[in-house]
Amino acid sequence: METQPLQDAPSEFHPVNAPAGAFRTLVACIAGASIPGLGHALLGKWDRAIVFFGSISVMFVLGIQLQGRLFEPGFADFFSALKFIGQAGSGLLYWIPWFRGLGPGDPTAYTYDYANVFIYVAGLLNMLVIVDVFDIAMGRKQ
Amino acid sequence: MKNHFTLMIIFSILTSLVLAFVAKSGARERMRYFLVLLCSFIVLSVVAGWLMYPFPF
Repeated sequence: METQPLQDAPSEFHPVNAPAGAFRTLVACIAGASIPGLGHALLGKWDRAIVFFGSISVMFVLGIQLQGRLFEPGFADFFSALKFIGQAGSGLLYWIPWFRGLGPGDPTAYTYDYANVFIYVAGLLNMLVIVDVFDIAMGRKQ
Repeated sequence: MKNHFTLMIIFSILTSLVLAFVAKSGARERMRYFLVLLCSFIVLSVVAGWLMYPFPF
């Protein structure tokens, strides 16, 4: 028996805004992945851009200042790979200090664990922000 | 800055701020969501700390 599509089935996707187009969406997502908040700035969402850049940057810099460790790129160990992926989600905030040799980490420091959590969460929040950029560019959010 | 409670407050403020701006639109809704998240972070952290207090490790 052949399945027939419903004639008057309601569409599940109702764009809130006009979609930004594939190229602009891609550019905004890449910009957001490089610098927190830049994707929102390119889409004209300045309030979000300022808050995301400020919050994520402060969190990341505090993590470095509190003796946190930047995990080097590597996938030999599962948990180290997860740590690296989480931290690298911050984009250039991760890569610039890493290339400059910052963030060696001091496991004996009183704030080492806290600092690492700050750096992980900064990267994970930026991943969430990139998804937000994508939704806005696709017209799913205001 | 080595006080864990201060660091927890800073962490809660920054994380709640980002989540409020991602999840809500409109100043009033964002402020309300931010305050709910902030209070939840702080209260649940303190409660979890007290629940772990008897453990010897």
